[in-house]
Amino acid sequence: MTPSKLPIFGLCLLLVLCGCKQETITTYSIPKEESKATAPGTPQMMPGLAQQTSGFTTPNWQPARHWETQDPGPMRKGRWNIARDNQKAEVTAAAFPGDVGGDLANVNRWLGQIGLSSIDAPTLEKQSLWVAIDGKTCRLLILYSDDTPQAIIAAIVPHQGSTWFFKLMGETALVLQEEAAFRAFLDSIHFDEA
Amino acid sequence: MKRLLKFFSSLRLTIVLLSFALLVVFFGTLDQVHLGIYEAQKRYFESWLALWFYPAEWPGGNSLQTFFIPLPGGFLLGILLIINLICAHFTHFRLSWQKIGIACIHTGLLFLIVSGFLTGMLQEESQMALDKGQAVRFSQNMRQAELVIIDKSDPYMDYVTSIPTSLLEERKTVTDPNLPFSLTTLHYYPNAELGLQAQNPEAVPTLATAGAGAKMGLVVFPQPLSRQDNVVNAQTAYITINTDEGPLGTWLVSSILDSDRFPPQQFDYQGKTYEIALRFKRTYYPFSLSLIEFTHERYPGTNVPKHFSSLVQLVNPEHSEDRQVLIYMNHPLRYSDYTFFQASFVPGGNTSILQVVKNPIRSLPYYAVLLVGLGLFFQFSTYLILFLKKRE
Repeated sequence: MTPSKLPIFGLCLLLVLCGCKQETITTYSIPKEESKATAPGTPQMMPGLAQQTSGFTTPNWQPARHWETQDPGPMRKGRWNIARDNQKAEVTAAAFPGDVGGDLANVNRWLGQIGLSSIDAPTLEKQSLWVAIDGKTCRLLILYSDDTPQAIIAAIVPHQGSTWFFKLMGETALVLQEEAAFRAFLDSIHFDEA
Repeated sequence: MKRLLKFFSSLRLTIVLLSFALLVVFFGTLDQVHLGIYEAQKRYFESWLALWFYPAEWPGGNSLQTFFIPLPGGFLLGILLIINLICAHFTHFRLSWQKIGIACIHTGLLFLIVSGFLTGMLQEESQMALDKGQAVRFSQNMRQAELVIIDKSDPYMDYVTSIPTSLLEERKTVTDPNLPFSLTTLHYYPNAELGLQAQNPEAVPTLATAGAGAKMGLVVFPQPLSRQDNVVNAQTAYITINTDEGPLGTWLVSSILDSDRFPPQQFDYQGKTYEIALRFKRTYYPFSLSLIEFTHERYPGTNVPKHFSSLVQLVNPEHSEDRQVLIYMNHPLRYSDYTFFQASFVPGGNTSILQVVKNPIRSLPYYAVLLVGLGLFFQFSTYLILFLKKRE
């Protein structure tokens, strides 16, 4: 190649590289995913629903005194941290419009978060405890296994076309110790009727 | 041909191109205020032609905002500088032992410009959010979305078909040999908010006939595309799934309906369960990272970050690797072809956010600078020796 042709060759090479950016459909396989990570920048990317959830009126409640109040963020209505003997747990309260896909889908998502397998509808019915929260009969679930370090106790409360989720999640021993305090918290919940 | 070679080897051309480079940096910096760093970089430095418009908020902006200055983009300047450098080198220099330093300097400069160009073309950036104790194997590009159809029927593996949003043109149907159905985009919104039909009776009724959109009565409010660095656009679309037996339904998909808070939207077809989602574009890795501890220190009495670091567990089953790594400011984890920088965190200390950069030619600028340094050393040393010999 003569030196004078070098620039032309370089230009062609770079132009070819420019053409490599076209986007196409791709396929790939991944090990089965049950729980998924929080999307970065979450507070900024859901303006519509953040606005909606901020519209829900927070009920009256009485959290346990040893629960440490945290900033709930844009999507939650309440958040408390519990720490004892180097163990940690978190209580959250969140509200969403509708039934957010149904109880089974939500429970399976929680099971995924603590590394447990999904269950079917009959199993959900068997595992559900039913408690009264502000006069309504609501589903309460205690999810844990001897093989996983994390546990969840959660209540699902339908209220005026929306669904409230009250969840205690953390290290299994601490979560089980906190069950009584969490149930007392659920007992204290009272919605102001609009 | 000779005239063309003369033009491209002209040192005047070098001066003109470098002057334009100064102008591009100047106007790009001015526009960065409105566009944010990412968009300004795309428009001015990773483009062939850049247009600077007179800002509307400047004095007389109302009448002058249509006034614009065309400028060569970074790619065009880079290519012209490369051609200029190569032509000038072969026109003005003859390779000899005395001038090998100059050849080194020119080659180094060439590598520098080429590496800048290739970085713009090939570098991929994304974010990895690590929740304490949770192993994460993917990162997300917050500026690009993908429509995914996930075949969930296998008990151990998920089979993902990823469709870039650039293919989601309205009324256009997308097919793929791996899918037993086709997808038609009814509407695509580069940025949107969602609301409840019940609370917004005046809104355009939902087109969704299946999934969360139909179940919850969600309606779409299109929003202008935001280019600010700290704002994420929520891509949203109505997608109809067509089968040989007729349409299966229309789903509302949106990056707002992310899988952390909302159950996946699933449907069954031909005995298989599929999930449909519009999400931030993911890159999966053959290894996982999990956050062990996140440390965040502030300067006393202020909210100014002093130091933040993430202690992570790196697990790569392919290499039987399981070790702890501390990532902190200016000390990224370089692993495989990727660099993981400590970028941000979610208040509360349970989530750390890493910036993941893949740059296949990340070493090239170092070699280029080394080559320029060697060339300068050789050239100055040669002249020094000649000068000292003359004095003797």
